[in-house]
Amino acid sequence: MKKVWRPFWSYDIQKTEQMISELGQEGYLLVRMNRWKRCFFFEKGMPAALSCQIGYSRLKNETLSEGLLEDGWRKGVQSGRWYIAVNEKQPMLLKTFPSREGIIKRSLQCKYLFASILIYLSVIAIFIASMFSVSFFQNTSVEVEESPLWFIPITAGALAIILGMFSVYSFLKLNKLIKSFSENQDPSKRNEAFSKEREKHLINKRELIVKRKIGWMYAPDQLEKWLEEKERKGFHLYRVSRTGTVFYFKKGNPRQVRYCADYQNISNEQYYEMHRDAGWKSVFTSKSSLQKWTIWSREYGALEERPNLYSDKIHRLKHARKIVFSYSLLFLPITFVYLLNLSIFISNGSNFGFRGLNALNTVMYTICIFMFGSFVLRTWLYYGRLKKSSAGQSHQ
Amino acid sequence: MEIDNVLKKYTPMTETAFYILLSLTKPRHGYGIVKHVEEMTNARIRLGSGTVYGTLTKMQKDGVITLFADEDRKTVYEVTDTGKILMAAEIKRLKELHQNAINHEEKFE
Repeated sequence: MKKVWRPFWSYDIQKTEQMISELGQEGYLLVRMNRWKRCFFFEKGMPAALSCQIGYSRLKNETLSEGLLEDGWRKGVQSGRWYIAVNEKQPMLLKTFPSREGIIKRSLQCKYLFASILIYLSVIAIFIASMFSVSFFQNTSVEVEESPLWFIPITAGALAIILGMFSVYSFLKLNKLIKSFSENQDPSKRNEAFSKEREKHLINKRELIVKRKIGWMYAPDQLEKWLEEKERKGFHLYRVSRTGTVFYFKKGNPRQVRYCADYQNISNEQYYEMHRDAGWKSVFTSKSSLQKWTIWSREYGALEERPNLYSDKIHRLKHARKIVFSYSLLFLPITFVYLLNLSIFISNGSNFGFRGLNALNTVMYTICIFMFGSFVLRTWLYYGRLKKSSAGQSHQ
Repeated sequence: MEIDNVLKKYTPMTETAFYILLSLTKPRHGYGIVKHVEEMTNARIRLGSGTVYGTLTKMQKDGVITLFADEDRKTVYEVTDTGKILMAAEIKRLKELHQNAINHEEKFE
Protein backbone atom coordinates (compact mmCIF):
# COMPACT_ATOMS: atom_id res chain seq x y z
CA MET A 1 0.00 0.00 0.00
CA LYS A 2 1.31 3.39 -1.00
CA LYS A 3 -0.16 6.60 0.37
CA VAL A 4 0.19 9.91 -1.44
CA TRP A 5 -0.79 13.13 0.27
CA ARG A 6 -1.71 16.00 -2.03
CA PRO A 7 -3.23 18.88 -0.03
CA PHE A 8 -4.11 20.96 -3.09
CA TRP A 9 -4.85 18.21 -5.57
CA SER A 10 -8.05 19.77 -6.84
CA TYR A 11 -6.23 22.98 -7.84
CA ASP A 12 -3.88 21.03 -10.11
CA ILE A 13 -6.24 18.55 -11.71
CA GLN A 14 -3.96 17.80 -14.65
CA LYS A 15 -0.92 17.23 -12.42
CA THR A 16 -2.91 14.90 -10.16
CA GLU A 17 -4.08 12.93 -13.20
CA GLN A 18 -0.51 12.72 -14.42
CA MET A 19 0.63 11.44 -11.03
CA ILE A 20 -1.99 8.68 -11.05
CA SER A 21 -1.05 7.67 -14.61
CA GLU A 22 2.66 7.62 -13.81
CA LEU A 23 2.18 5.55 -10.69
CA GLY A 24 0.09 3.18 -12.81
CA GLN A 25 3.05 2.68 -15.10
CA GLU A 26 5.14 1.80 -12.08
CA GLY A 27 2.54 -0.76 -11.09
CA TYR A 28 0.68 1.17 -8.44
CA LEU A 29 -3.05 1.14 -8.94
CA LEU A 30 -5.35 3.62 -7.30
CA VAL A 31 -7.77 1.84 -4.98
CA ARG A 32 -9.13 4.54 -2.71
CA MET A 33 -9.12 8.24 -2.11
CA ASN A 34 -10.07 10.30 0.90
CA ARG A 35 -10.99 13.78 -0.16
CA TRP A 36 -11.10 15.12 3.43
CA LYS A 37 -7.62 13.92 4.33
CA ARG A 38 -6.53 14.65 0.74
CA CYS A 39 -4.94 11.23 0.43
CA PHE A 40 -4.69 8.79 -2.45
CA PHE A 41 -4.09 5.11 -1.74
CA PHE A 42 -2.37 2.81 -4.22
CA GLU A 43 -1.86 -0.94 -4.27
CA LYS A 44 1.02 -2.78 -5.95
CA GLY A 45 -0.03 -4.68 -9.03
CA MET A 46 0.92 -5.14 -12.66
CA PRO A 47 2.44 -2.09 -14.36
CA ALA A 48 -0.05 -0.73 -16.88
CA ALA A 49 -0.16 2.25 -19.15
CA LEU A 50 -3.44 3.91 -18.40
CA SER A 51 -5.22 7.15 -19.03
CA CYS A 52 -6.82 8.86 -16.12
CA GLN A 53 -9.24 11.72 -15.89
CA ILE A 54 -10.76 13.35 -12.84
CA GLY A 55 -14.40 14.35 -13.00
CA TYR A 56 -16.93 16.08 -10.81
CA SER A 57 -20.63 15.52 -11.11
CA ARG A 58 -23.39 17.25 -9.22
CA LEU A 59 -25.44 14.07 -9.30
CA LYS A 60 -23.78 11.71 -6.85
CA ASN A 61 -23.06 8.18 -8.06
CA GLU A 62 -24.00 9.03 -11.61
CA THR A 63 -22.80 6.28 -13.93
CA LEU A 64 -20.51 7.18 -16.79
CA SER A 65 -22.27 7.76 -20.09
CA GLU A 66 -22.59 4.89 -22.53
CA GLY A 67 -20.30 6.61 -24.99
CA LEU A 68 -17.54 6.64 -22.41
CA LEU A 69 -18.15 3.06 -21.28
CA GLU A 70 -17.96 1.84 -24.88
CA ASP A 71 -14.63 3.57 -25.29
CA GLY A 72 -13.27 1.63 -22.29
CA TRP A 73 -13.65 4.18 -19.53
CA ARG A 74 -14.69 3.07 -16.11
CA LYS A 75 -15.06 4.77 -12.78
CA GLY A 76 -11.97 3.86 -10.79
CA VAL A 77 -12.65 5.54 -7.51
CA GLN A 78 -15.44 7.73 -6.25
CA SER A 79 -15.38 10.06 -3.28
CA GLY A 80 -18.38 12.29 -2.79
CA ARG A 81 -19.05 14.06 -6.04
CA TRP A 82 -15.51 13.54 -7.26
CA TYR A 83 -14.63 10.52 -9.33
CA ILE A 84 -11.58 9.28 -11.13
CA ALA A 85 -12.20 7.64 -14.47
CA VAL A 86 -9.53 5.35 -15.86
CA ASN A 87 -9.00 3.80 -19.25
CA GLU A 88 -6.49 1.11 -20.10
CA LYS A 89 -5.95 2.61 -23.54
CA GLN A 90 -3.10 4.94 -24.34
CA PRO A 91 -4.16 8.60 -24.40
CA MET A 92 -3.58 8.81 -28.17
CA LEU A 93 -6.04 6.01 -28.88
CA LEU A 94 -8.91 7.55 -26.95
CA LYS A 95 -11.99 8.75 -28.78
CA THR A 96 -13.91 10.15 -25.84
CA PHE A 97 -13.17 12.02 -22.64
CA PRO A 98 -15.25 12.72 -19.54
CA SER A 99 -16.49 16.30 -19.58
CA ARG A 100 -14.61 18.95 -17.62
CA GLU A 101 -17.81 20.91 -17.22
CA GLY A 102 -18.50 19.82 -13.62
CA ILE A 103 -15.01 20.73 -12.43
CA ILE A 104 -15.16 24.13 -14.14
CA LYS A 105 -18.50 24.91 -12.53
CA ARG A 106 -17.33 23.87 -9.09
CA SER A 107 -14.07 25.79 -9.45
CA LEU A 108 -16.00 28.90 -10.43
CA GLN A 109 -18.19 28.60 -7.34
CA CYS A 110 -15.13 28.14 -5.12
CA LYS A 111 -13.47 31.10 -6.81
CA TYR A 112 -16.43 33.33 -5.96
CA LEU A 113 -16.46 32.03 -2.41
CA PHE A 114 -12.79 32.91 -1.89
CA ALA A 115 -13.29 36.28 -3.56
CA SER A 116 -16.11 37.13 -1.16
CA ILE A 117 -14.01 36.01 1.82
CA LEU A 118 -11.26 38.35 0.61
CA ILE A 119 -13.67 41.24 0.19
CA TYR A 120 -15.08 40.63 3.68
CA LEU A 121 -11.61 40.47 5.25
CA SER A 122 -10.42 43.62 3.48
CA VAL A 123 -13.51 45.56 4.59
CA ILE A 124 -12.72 44.63 8.20
CA ALA A 125 -9.04 45.45 7.70
CA ILE A 126 -9.87 48.86 6.24
CA PHE A 127 -12.27 49.53 9.11
CA ILE A 128 -9.63 48.72 11.74
CA ALA A 129 -6.95 50.65 9.87
CA SER A 130 -9.16 53.71 9.57
CA MET A 131 -9.93 53.61 13.31
CA PHE A 132 -6.20 53.57 14.11
CA SER A 133 -5.40 56.25 11.57
CA VAL A 134 -8.06 58.57 12.99
CA SER A 135 -6.55 58.31 16.46
CA PHE A 136 -3.09 58.68 14.91
CA PHE A 137 -3.91 61.91 13.08
CA GLN A 138 -5.71 63.36 16.08
CA ASN A 139 -2.56 62.74 18.10
CA THR A 140 -4.39 60.83 20.76
CA SER A 141 -2.10 58.12 21.97
CA VAL A 142 -3.41 54.60 21.71
CA GLU A 143 -3.29 53.00 25.10
CA VAL A 144 -2.67 49.33 25.22
CA GLU A 145 -4.37 47.77 28.14
CA GLU A 146 -2.64 44.78 29.69
CA SER A 147 -5.02 41.90 29.69
CA PRO A 148 -4.75 38.13 29.97
CA LEU A 149 -7.36 37.88 27.20
CA TRP A 150 -5.12 39.47 24.58
CA PHE A 151 -4.49 36.08 23.04
CA ILE A 152 -8.05 36.15 21.63
CA PRO A 153 -7.69 39.11 19.23
CA ILE A 154 -4.12 38.07 18.39
CA THR A 155 -5.12 34.53 17.43
CA ALA A 156 -8.16 35.89 15.59
CA GLY A 157 -5.91 38.29 13.69
CA ALA A 158 -3.42 35.55 12.87
CA LEU A 159 -6.21 33.27 11.70
CA ALA A 160 -7.60 36.07 9.54
CA ILE A 161 -4.18 36.61 7.94
CA ILE A 162 -3.79 32.86 7.28
CA LEU A 163 -7.31 32.70 5.86
CA GLY A 164 -6.58 35.73 3.71
CA MET A 165 -3.37 34.24 2.31
CA PHE A 166 -5.09 30.92 1.68
CA SER A 167 -7.91 32.70 -0.13
CA VAL A 168 -5.49 34.62 -2.35
CA TYR A 169 -3.63 31.42 -3.18
CA SER A 170 -6.86 29.51 -3.88
CA PHE A 171 -8.29 32.32 -5.97
CA LEU A 172 -5.23 32.51 -8.19
CA LYS A 173 -4.89 28.73 -8.51
CA LEU A 174 -8.55 28.24 -9.36
CA ASN A 175 -8.41 31.03 -11.91
CA LYS A 176 -5.48 29.32 -13.60
CA LEU A 177 -7.27 25.97 -13.54
CA ILE A 178 -10.44 27.38 -15.11
CA LYS A 179 -8.38 29.11 -17.80
CA SER A 180 -6.49 25.90 -18.57
CA PHE A 181 -9.77 24.13 -19.28
CA SER A 182 -11.40 26.75 -21.43
CA GLU A 183 -10.17 27.67 -24.85
CA ASN A 184 -12.81 30.29 -25.45
CA GLN A 185 -11.25 31.93 -28.47
CA ASP A 186 -13.17 32.72 -31.58
CA PRO A 187 -10.87 31.75 -34.44
CA SER A 188 -12.77 33.89 -36.92
CA LYS A 189 -12.21 37.06 -34.94
CA ARG A 190 -8.49 37.31 -34.45
CA ASN A 191 -7.15 37.72 -37.98
CA GLU A 192 -9.40 40.70 -38.61
CA ALA A 193 -7.96 43.03 -36.02
CA PHE A 194 -6.00 46.15 -36.94
CA SER A 195 -3.12 47.49 -34.90
CA LYS A 196 -3.81 50.46 -32.62
CA GLU A 197 -1.94 52.91 -34.91
CA ARG A 198 -3.72 51.69 -38.02
CA GLU A 199 -7.01 52.04 -36.18
CA LYS A 200 -6.25 55.66 -35.25
CA HIS A 201 -5.27 56.38 -38.83
CA LEU A 202 -8.52 54.90 -40.13
CA ILE A 203 -10.55 56.88 -37.61
CA ASN A 204 -8.88 60.11 -38.81
CA LYS A 205 -9.63 59.16 -42.41
CA ARG A 206 -13.25 58.56 -41.39
CA GLU A 207 -13.12 54.98 -42.58
CA LEU A 208 -13.70 53.79 -39.04
CA ILE A 209 -16.58 55.36 -37.21
CA VAL A 210 -16.72 55.33 -33.44
CA LYS A 211 -20.02 55.40 -31.60
CA ARG A 212 -20.68 55.25 -27.90
CA LYS A 213 -23.57 53.35 -26.41
CA ILE A 214 -23.86 53.21 -22.64
CA GLY A 215 -26.37 51.18 -20.70
CA TRP A 216 -27.55 49.07 -23.62
CA MET A 217 -27.88 46.02 -21.37
CA TYR A 218 -31.07 47.49 -19.93
CA ALA A 219 -32.65 47.49 -23.39
CA PRO A 220 -30.79 44.86 -25.44
CA ASP A 221 -33.49 44.74 -28.12
CA GLN A 222 -32.81 48.37 -28.96
CA LEU A 223 -29.09 47.68 -29.29
CA GLU A 224 -29.86 44.82 -31.68
CA LYS A 225 -32.10 47.09 -33.75
CA TRP A 226 -29.48 49.83 -33.80
CA LEU A 227 -26.68 47.50 -34.94
CA GLU A 228 -28.88 45.89 -37.61
CA GLU A 229 -29.88 49.34 -38.90
CA LYS A 230 -26.21 50.33 -39.08
CA GLU A 231 -25.40 47.22 -41.15
CA ARG A 232 -28.26 47.98 -43.52
CA LYS A 233 -26.70 51.40 -44.11
CA GLY A 234 -23.34 49.78 -44.81
CA PHE A 235 -21.61 50.23 -41.49
CA HIS A 236 -20.14 46.91 -40.48
CA LEU A 237 -19.51 46.41 -36.80
CA TYR A 238 -15.80 45.78 -36.64
CA ARG A 239 -15.10 45.70 -32.95
CA VAL A 240 -16.52 46.52 -29.51
CA SER A 241 -14.33 47.93 -26.77
CA ARG A 242 -13.50 45.72 -23.81
CA THR A 243 -15.97 47.55 -21.62
CA GLY A 244 -18.72 47.08 -24.20
CA THR A 245 -19.54 50.77 -24.49
CA VAL A 246 -17.64 51.83 -27.63
CA PHE A 247 -18.64 50.43 -31.01
CA TYR A 248 -16.34 50.69 -34.05
CA PHE A 249 -17.90 50.52 -37.51
CA LYS A 250 -16.13 50.02 -40.84
CA LYS A 251 -17.63 51.48 -44.00
CA GLY A 252 -18.69 48.93 -46.58
CA ASN A 253 -21.64 47.59 -48.53
CA PRO A 254 -25.08 47.25 -46.96
CA ARG A 255 -25.57 43.84 -45.37
CA GLN A 256 -28.32 41.92 -43.67
CA VAL A 257 -26.94 40.91 -40.30
CA ARG A 258 -28.84 39.68 -37.29
CA TYR A 259 -27.49 40.74 -33.91
CA CYS A 260 -28.46 39.10 -30.64
CA ALA A 261 -27.38 40.36 -27.24
CA ASP A 262 -27.49 37.41 -24.87
CA TYR A 263 -27.24 37.35 -21.09
CA GLN A 264 -26.08 34.35 -19.08
CA ASN A 265 -25.49 33.98 -15.37
CA ILE A 266 -22.71 31.49 -15.94
CA SER A 267 -21.57 30.80 -19.47
CA ASN A 268 -19.42 27.80 -20.24
CA GLU A 269 -17.57 26.19 -23.11
CA GLN A 270 -20.70 24.43 -24.35
CA TYR A 271 -22.45 27.77 -24.66
CA TYR A 272 -19.89 29.20 -27.08
CA GLU A 273 -19.50 25.90 -28.91
CA MET A 274 -23.23 25.58 -29.54
CA HIS A 275 -23.69 29.07 -30.97
CA ARG A 276 -20.51 29.04 -33.05
CA ASP A 277 -21.41 25.68 -34.59
CA ALA A 278 -24.81 27.06 -35.50
CA GLY A 279 -23.13 29.87 -37.45
CA TRP A 280 -23.07 32.71 -34.93
CA LYS A 281 -20.01 34.87 -34.39
CA SER A 282 -19.31 36.47 -31.05
CA VAL A 283 -18.65 40.17 -31.49
CA PHE A 284 -18.36 40.95 -27.83
CA THR A 285 -18.08 39.03 -24.57
CA SER A 286 -18.05 40.90 -21.29
CA LYS A 287 -15.10 40.19 -19.04
CA SER A 288 -17.04 40.56 -15.81
CA SER A 289 -18.22 37.35 -14.27
CA LEU A 290 -21.40 38.69 -12.70
CA GLN A 291 -23.09 39.96 -15.83
CA LYS A 292 -21.98 37.82 -18.70
CA TRP A 293 -23.11 39.49 -21.90
CA THR A 294 -22.31 38.20 -25.35
CA ILE A 295 -23.26 39.91 -28.59
CA TRP A 296 -23.73 37.39 -31.37
CA SER A 297 -23.92 38.24 -35.06
CA ARG A 298 -24.95 36.29 -38.11
CA GLU A 299 -25.25 37.42 -41.71
CA TYR A 300 -28.23 36.13 -43.67
CA GLY A 301 -29.36 36.25 -47.28
CA ALA A 302 -32.23 38.27 -48.72
CA LEU A 303 -34.44 35.20 -49.06
CA GLU A 304 -33.48 33.65 -45.76
CA GLU A 305 -35.53 33.85 -42.61
CA ARG A 306 -34.18 36.24 -39.98
CA PRO A 307 -32.23 34.00 -37.61
CA ASN A 308 -32.95 33.99 -33.90
CA LEU A 309 -30.95 32.76 -30.95
CA TYR A 310 -34.19 31.75 -29.27
CA SER A 311 -36.54 30.16 -31.74
CA ASP A 312 -39.55 29.96 -29.45
CA LYS A 313 -41.48 32.33 -27.26
CA ILE A 314 -40.92 30.41 -24.02
CA HIS A 315 -37.15 30.63 -24.15
CA ARG A 316 -37.14 34.19 -25.47
CA LEU A 317 -39.25 35.39 -22.54
CA LYS A 318 -37.29 33.23 -20.11
CA HIS A 319 -34.10 34.92 -21.21
CA ALA A 320 -35.68 38.36 -20.83
CA ARG A 321 -36.96 37.44 -17.35
CA LYS A 322 -33.43 36.49 -16.34
CA ILE A 323 -32.26 40.00 -17.28
CA VAL A 324 -35.17 41.68 -15.50
CA PHE A 325 -34.71 39.68 -12.29
CA SER A 326 -30.94 40.09 -12.21
CA TYR A 327 -31.01 43.85 -12.63
CA SER A 328 -34.00 44.33 -10.35
CA LEU A 329 -32.22 42.34 -7.66
CA LEU A 330 -29.11 44.42 -8.17
CA PHE A 331 -30.57 47.92 -8.41
CA LEU A 332 -33.87 47.92 -6.49
CA PRO A 333 -32.20 47.61 -3.05
CA ILE A 334 -29.78 50.42 -3.95
CA THR A 335 -32.64 52.60 -5.11
CA PHE A 336 -34.52 51.98 -1.87
CA VAL A 337 -31.51 52.82 0.28
CA TYR A 338 -31.09 56.10 -1.58
CA LEU A 339 -34.81 56.83 -1.27
CA LEU A 340 -34.56 56.27 2.47
CA ASN A 341 -31.51 58.53 2.70
CA LEU A 342 -33.23 61.18 0.63
CA SER A 343 -36.30 61.21 2.84
CA ILE A 344 -34.06 61.64 5.90
CA PHE A 345 -32.21 64.51 4.22
CA ILE A 346 -35.42 66.17 3.15
CA SER A 347 -36.87 66.01 6.65
CA ASN A 348 -33.56 67.38 7.97
CA GLY A 349 -33.63 70.05 5.30
CA SER A 350 -37.15 71.16 6.10
CA ASN A 351 -36.14 71.51 9.75
CA PHE A 352 -32.79 73.23 9.31
CA GLY A 353 -32.96 74.66 5.79
CA PHE A 354 -31.34 73.45 2.56
CA ARG A 355 -27.85 74.84 2.58
CA GLY A 356 -24.38 73.77 1.51
CA LEU A 357 -23.62 70.10 1.91
CA ASN A 358 -27.19 69.21 2.73
CA ALA A 359 -28.49 70.64 -0.54
CA LEU A 360 -25.69 68.97 -2.53
CA ASN A 361 -26.47 65.61 -0.94
CA THR A 362 -30.15 65.96 -1.70
CA VAL A 363 -29.40 66.63 -5.37
CA MET A 364 -26.91 63.74 -5.57
CA TYR A 365 -29.35 61.32 -3.98
CA THR A 366 -32.10 62.38 -6.36
CA ILE A 367 -29.81 61.77 -9.35
CA CYS A 368 -28.84 58.33 -8.02
CA ILE A 369 -32.46 57.35 -7.45
CA PHE A 370 -33.40 58.33 -10.98
CA MET A 371 -30.35 56.58 -12.45
CA PHE A 372 -30.72 53.23 -10.67
CA GLY A 373 -34.49 53.41 -10.88
CA SER A 374 -34.27 53.97 -14.62
CA PHE A 375 -32.11 50.86 -15.04
CA VAL A 376 -34.80 48.75 -13.43
CA LEU A 377 -37.59 50.50 -15.29
CA ARG A 378 -35.86 50.08 -18.64
CA THR A 379 -35.45 46.31 -18.19
CA TRP A 380 -39.15 46.03 -17.31
CA LEU A 381 -40.07 48.06 -20.37
CA TYR A 382 -37.86 45.77 -22.46
CA TYR A 383 -39.69 42.76 -21.09
CA GLY A 384 -43.01 44.39 -21.88
CA ARG A 385 -41.99 45.12 -25.48
CA LEU A 386 -40.82 41.53 -25.95
CA LYS A 387 -43.99 40.10 -24.49
CA LYS A 388 -46.10 42.28 -26.75
CA SER A 389 -44.14 41.42 -29.89
CA SER A 390 -44.27 37.69 -29.23
CA ALA A 391 -47.93 37.68 -28.18
CA GLY A 392 -49.10 36.90 -31.70
CA GLN A 393 -46.66 34.05 -32.10
CA SER A 394 -47.66 30.45 -31.80
CA HIS A 395 -46.77 28.44 -28.78
CA GLN A 396 -44.03 25.93 -29.42
CA MET B 1 -33.40 13.96 -9.27
CA GLU B 2 -35.91 11.25 -8.43
CA ILE B 3 -37.60 9.71 -11.44
CA ASP B 4 -41.09 10.68 -10.20
CA ASN B 5 -40.05 14.32 -9.93
CA VAL B 6 -38.52 14.23 -13.39
CA LEU B 7 -41.75 12.81 -14.83
CA LYS B 8 -43.80 15.43 -13.03
CA LYS B 9 -41.55 18.26 -14.18
CA TYR B 10 -41.18 17.23 -17.82
CA THR B 11 -44.52 15.77 -18.86
CA PRO B 12 -46.35 16.86 -20.90
CA MET B 13 -43.33 17.96 -22.88
CA THR B 14 -43.12 20.98 -25.11
CA GLU B 15 -42.55 20.22 -28.76
CA THR B 16 -39.06 21.68 -28.49
CA ALA B 17 -38.03 19.55 -25.52
CA PHE B 18 -39.59 16.43 -27.06
CA TYR B 19 -37.75 16.74 -30.35
CA ILE B 20 -34.45 17.59 -28.67
CA LEU B 21 -34.66 14.42 -26.58
CA LEU B 22 -35.96 12.40 -29.50
CA SER B 23 -32.89 13.29 -31.55
CA LEU B 24 -30.65 11.78 -28.89
CA THR B 25 -31.27 8.23 -30.13
CA LYS B 26 -27.51 8.35 -30.47
CA PRO B 27 -25.04 10.78 -28.89
CA ARG B 28 -24.91 14.03 -30.83
CA HIS B 29 -23.25 17.46 -30.81
CA GLY B 30 -25.41 20.47 -30.03
CA TYR B 31 -25.64 21.55 -33.64
CA GLY B 32 -26.20 17.93 -34.68
CA ILE B 33 -29.42 18.07 -32.64
CA VAL B 34 -30.54 21.21 -34.49
CA LYS B 35 -29.88 19.60 -37.87
CA HIS B 36 -31.55 16.34 -36.91
CA VAL B 37 -34.71 18.02 -35.66
CA GLU B 38 -34.86 20.01 -38.89
CA GLU B 39 -34.63 16.78 -40.90
CA MET B 40 -37.23 14.96 -38.81
CA THR B 41 -39.79 17.75 -39.12
CA ASN B 42 -39.06 18.63 -42.77
CA ALA B 43 -37.67 22.01 -41.70
CA ARG B 44 -40.89 22.91 -39.87
CA ILE B 45 -38.95 23.34 -36.64
CA ARG B 46 -35.72 25.29 -36.87
CA LEU B 47 -34.35 25.40 -33.34
CA GLY B 48 -32.33 28.38 -32.25
CA SER B 49 -29.05 27.54 -30.58
CA GLY B 50 -30.05 29.51 -27.48
CA THR B 51 -33.18 27.43 -27.12
CA VAL B 52 -31.22 24.19 -27.49
CA TYR B 53 -28.55 25.33 -25.06
CA GLY B 54 -31.12 26.36 -22.47
CA THR B 55 -33.04 23.11 -22.76
CA LEU B 56 -29.93 20.91 -22.64
CA THR B 57 -28.54 22.78 -19.62
CA LYS B 58 -31.79 22.24 -17.74
CA MET B 59 -32.00 18.57 -18.74
CA GLN B 60 -28.42 17.97 -17.68
CA LYS B 61 -29.07 19.54 -14.29
CA ASP B 62 -31.99 17.17 -13.78
CA GLY B 63 -30.01 14.12 -14.91
CA VAL B 64 -32.09 13.53 -18.04
CA ILE B 65 -29.03 13.82 -20.27
CA THR B 66 -25.30 13.65 -19.70
CA LEU B 67 -22.34 14.86 -21.69
CA PHE B 68 -18.80 13.92 -22.58
CA ALA B 69 -16.10 15.22 -24.93
CA ASP B 70 -15.09 13.60 -28.20
CA GLU B 71 -11.58 13.39 -29.68
CA ASP B 72 -11.76 17.01 -30.89
CA ARG B 73 -12.78 17.98 -27.34
CA LYS B 74 -16.23 18.92 -28.57
CA THR B 75 -19.21 18.29 -26.34
CA VAL B 76 -21.41 15.30 -27.10
CA TYR B 77 -24.83 14.91 -25.47
CA GLU B 78 -26.29 11.57 -24.52
CA VAL B 79 -29.56 10.51 -22.94
CA THR B 80 -29.33 8.88 -19.48
CA ASP B 81 -31.39 5.99 -18.11
CA THR B 82 -33.63 8.56 -16.41
CA GLY B 83 -34.06 10.26 -19.77
CA LYS B 84 -35.00 6.96 -21.39
CA ILE B 85 -37.70 6.30 -18.78
CA LEU B 86 -39.01 9.82 -19.29
CA MET B 87 -39.10 9.41 -23.06
CA ALA B 88 -40.88 6.05 -22.81
CA ALA B 89 -43.55 7.60 -20.58
CA GLU B 90 -44.00 10.55 -22.90
CA ILE B 91 -44.21 8.37 -26.01
CA LYS B 92 -46.86 6.24 -24.28
CA ARG B 93 -48.86 9.40 -23.54
CA LEU B 94 -48.50 10.60 -27.12
CA LYS B 95 -49.62 7.21 -28.45
CA GLU B 96 -52.80 7.47 -26.42
CA LEU B 97 -53.28 10.99 -27.72
CA HIS B 98 -52.71 9.80 -31.26
CA GLN B 99 -55.11 6.88 -30.90
CA ASN B 100 -57.86 9.08 -29.47
CA ALA B 101 -57.31 11.65 -32.18
CA ILE B 102 -57.85 9.01 -34.85
CA ASN B 103 -60.88 7.53 -33.06
CA HIS B 104 -62.69 10.82 -32.87
CA GLU B 105 -61.40 12.47 -36.02
CA GLU B 106 -64.54 12.15 -38.16
CA LYS B 107 -66.79 13.71 -35.54
CA PHE B 108 -65.07 17.03 -36.14
CA GLU B 109 -65.31 17.02 -39.91
